[in-house]
Amino acid sequence: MRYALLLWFIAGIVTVTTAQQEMLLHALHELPQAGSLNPAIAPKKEGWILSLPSVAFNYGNNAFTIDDLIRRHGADSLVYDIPRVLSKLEVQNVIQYQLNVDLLRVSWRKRNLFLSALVSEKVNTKFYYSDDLVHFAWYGNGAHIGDTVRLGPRLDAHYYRELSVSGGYVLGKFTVGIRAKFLAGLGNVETHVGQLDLYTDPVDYALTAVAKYEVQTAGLENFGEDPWRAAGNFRNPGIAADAGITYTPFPRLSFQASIGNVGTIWWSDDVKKYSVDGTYEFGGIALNNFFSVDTLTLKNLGDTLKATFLPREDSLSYASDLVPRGYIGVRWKAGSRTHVGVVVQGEYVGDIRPSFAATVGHRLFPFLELATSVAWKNRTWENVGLAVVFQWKQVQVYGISDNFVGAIQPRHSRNVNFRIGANVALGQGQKM
Amino acid sequence: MRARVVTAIVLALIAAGCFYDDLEQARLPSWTPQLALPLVSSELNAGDLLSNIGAQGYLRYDDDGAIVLTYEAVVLSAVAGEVFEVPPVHFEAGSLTDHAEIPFDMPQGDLLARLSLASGILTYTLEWSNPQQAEIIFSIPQITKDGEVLTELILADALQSAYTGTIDLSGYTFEFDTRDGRNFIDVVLETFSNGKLIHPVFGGLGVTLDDMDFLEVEGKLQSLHFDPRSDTLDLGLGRNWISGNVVFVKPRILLTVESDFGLPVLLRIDNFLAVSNTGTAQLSGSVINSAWEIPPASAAVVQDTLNATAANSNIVDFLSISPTHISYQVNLAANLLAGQSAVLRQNDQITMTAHLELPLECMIQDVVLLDTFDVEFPDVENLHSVDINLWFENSFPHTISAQVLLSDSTGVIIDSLLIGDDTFIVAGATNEAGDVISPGEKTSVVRLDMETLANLQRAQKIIIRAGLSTDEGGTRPVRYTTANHLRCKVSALATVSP
Repeated sequence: MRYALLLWFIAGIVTVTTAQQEMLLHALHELPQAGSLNPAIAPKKEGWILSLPSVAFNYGNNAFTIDDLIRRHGADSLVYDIPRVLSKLEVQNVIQYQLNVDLLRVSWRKRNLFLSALVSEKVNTKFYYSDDLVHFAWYGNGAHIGDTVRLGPRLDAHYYRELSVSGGYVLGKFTVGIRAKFLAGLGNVETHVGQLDLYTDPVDYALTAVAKYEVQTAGLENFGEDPWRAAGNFRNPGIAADAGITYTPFPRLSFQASIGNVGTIWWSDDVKKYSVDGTYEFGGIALNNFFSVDTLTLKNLGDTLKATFLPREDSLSYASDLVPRGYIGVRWKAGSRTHVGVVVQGEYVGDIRPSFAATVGHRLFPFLELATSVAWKNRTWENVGLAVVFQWKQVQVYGISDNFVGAIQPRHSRNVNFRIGANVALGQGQKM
Repeated sequence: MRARVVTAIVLALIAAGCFYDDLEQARLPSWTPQLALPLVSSELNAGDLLSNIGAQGYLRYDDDGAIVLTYEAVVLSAVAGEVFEVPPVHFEAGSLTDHAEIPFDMPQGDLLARLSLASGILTYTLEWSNPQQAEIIFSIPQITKDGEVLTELILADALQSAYTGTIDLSGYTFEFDTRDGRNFIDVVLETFSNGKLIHPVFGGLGVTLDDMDFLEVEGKLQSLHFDPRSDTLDLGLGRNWISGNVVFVKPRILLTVESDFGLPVLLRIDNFLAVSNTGTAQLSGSVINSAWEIPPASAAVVQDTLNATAANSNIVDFLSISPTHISYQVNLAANLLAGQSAVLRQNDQITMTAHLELPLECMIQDVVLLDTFDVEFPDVENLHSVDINLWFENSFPHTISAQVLLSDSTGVIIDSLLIGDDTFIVAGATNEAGDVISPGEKTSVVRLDMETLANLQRAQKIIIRAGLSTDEGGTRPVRYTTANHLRCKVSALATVSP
């Protein structure tokens, strides 16, 4: 009951959720990968664990599903249903995509001390857009006469390589952990300011456009010219850090809290910055010369538009921050083979965008553990997670999805999320 | 059992997920966004609307804001060099000793007292029968330059029996002996042998004066007749006029002559015609029909003017046919009272300029203008309908109605659009003086439906038929001033199907 109250309390303060989140993994303390979310989550057993390459994929659309976008029309044709999509949109919306490939992870524990190292590739892309943009594209500005339409979309995309080392220590009922990350930026597109407003005057349809845009890019030409060289690029360095703590007041109950991904990448190689800052008002063509010329030219209009909206370009280096995130979790061991919990996750993108989930895990057999979750992500409860962990001797194989239905039927879901991988306990007779 | 249940559930879900429609086949449904676009936003004054008034026209603004449509043209420009020429002179004499008298006859019998040349060539040939060594001085005392008599020294030897010489006459002045109605100059020959003056008999003398270009001539000159001058004054107006009248209340034509001719000049203006698309009208009146005499200039330039107004000519009717241009012919003659002594310089000039002034105080009586444009409309297949919104605030004192006709390649009218009801630009309200005291305002909407848009696509030409009229059917004069303006906003709300 207390957990239910907590859930409703959180639901009451949440208005927008957009984050890339791994919720169910946070509850699976048996997996070394849970330590990626909170460096204070310690391996259960002593010894070495080698994690084979694993893939974590997340697609999130906080407004609509593919089924919302495309519907069947008649017997055998499919049509885009933009009005239905529009009915799903909030003022601001986001489509995001993340891909993390853990190339190699090594974990080690000896009594109260545990360490790990990880090399991974990370792609994080978020596209923010307004409902005005879609409404404008579909209905035209004729449907926005007298309104200011906020069109400016934003795109934030990072591709970087991460080398991290972490360490943790068990201090009685507390466990603390920190992680240092050394980053190599490979590609970036970041919209710093993204204002493109259009106002249509109700009397004479005069258009007023306000454009205030700054787009920073790095590494794009490198990939176009020599992808291999670009992939080995270490000229855009960065650092980041994670920190976490767990508290276990009773053997069956533990609390976890962490903050991570606090860091910056300094982009100096293959940098291009484009910025626009202008207001343009167009009330129609002036006819003052119309009666003395044979051909009406739009050259002046084009010149004015070009002067106003032609982006200024420079190649000055810049810094881009990673998207910080935090987790708070509660985990209760309901028996020797069952655990339940609640996880709240938040990302900071100018404001805090939280998600939360309730989780249940149960070891069906000694070699198989199943876990499930129900999460509020991307403005929907339709996120039923499923995790399957097989364990045979020293080998642990897992598959996790915060939206199991979405993983196998992405058309119906706003979220597609999965992580697969394997861990091997090193040392004879060693188990995880 | 539990394992089988779990496996079955997982397989069922995966099977359901494998059932994919071909999403790439998805298409957009019927889609009709509306685009609201401003097309025109202008504030036009009289200068904008009357910008096409020909190269010789301009607007003049009086201090009280009144607008005067003014045309300025040089009607004629003539210089004395065109009509007074010095003919070549050729003289041959047989046996002579020391003197010859050369006649210098002008074609019209001018008696010249003095002639200054800008250029000219004198060629002479002297022959003798007994060659000997001698010095012969060839001179013409009546031709001088800077006080020096024209003189040539000929050195003859024993083997030589003739001599030909050429003299550049640039800058020389002739002073003629006139008698018996003719002009003469004398050639003098002085011969020296061993320092002594001798008097041989020469076998012949030939003198030619050619290529003479005069600077100034003095004498009793005959009449000079110039070629008639014909030209046109392009008004830039009335080209598209097909009916109705524009009656200017106070037009005038001011002709101004400036002359530094040393002779009296007589002008006569013939065929002063206003030419419109449908006919011509001749300017007449006491000042136009009579000859115009310009007295000779002395030290200062002579200036005279002739003012044709409604009071002394038919200029109001002359202009009421909405002429596109005015044509005219001017006859010019100088020194009609021949025989009096006068001085004529090569660069003496007479010019006549015409100012046609049309104060824009007028009555526009059901004027209909027609203009045709070749058009090639862009593809409008995706347009469902367009509402053209027109708003005009007019402080000019005339109304405008308009009809747009679309014609195909064969000239057949395929559609017609009436803009507004009767008028789409309403005249400003005027007071008794004809000045606008408040603007007229009107909003019109022209709807282009799919049929009209299709006709637009087919159209090769658009024909605009516009009607203009001032207050009370153009029976009461109104005044155009710098305060008049036409504000217009045209916008379109288009429903499209991308």
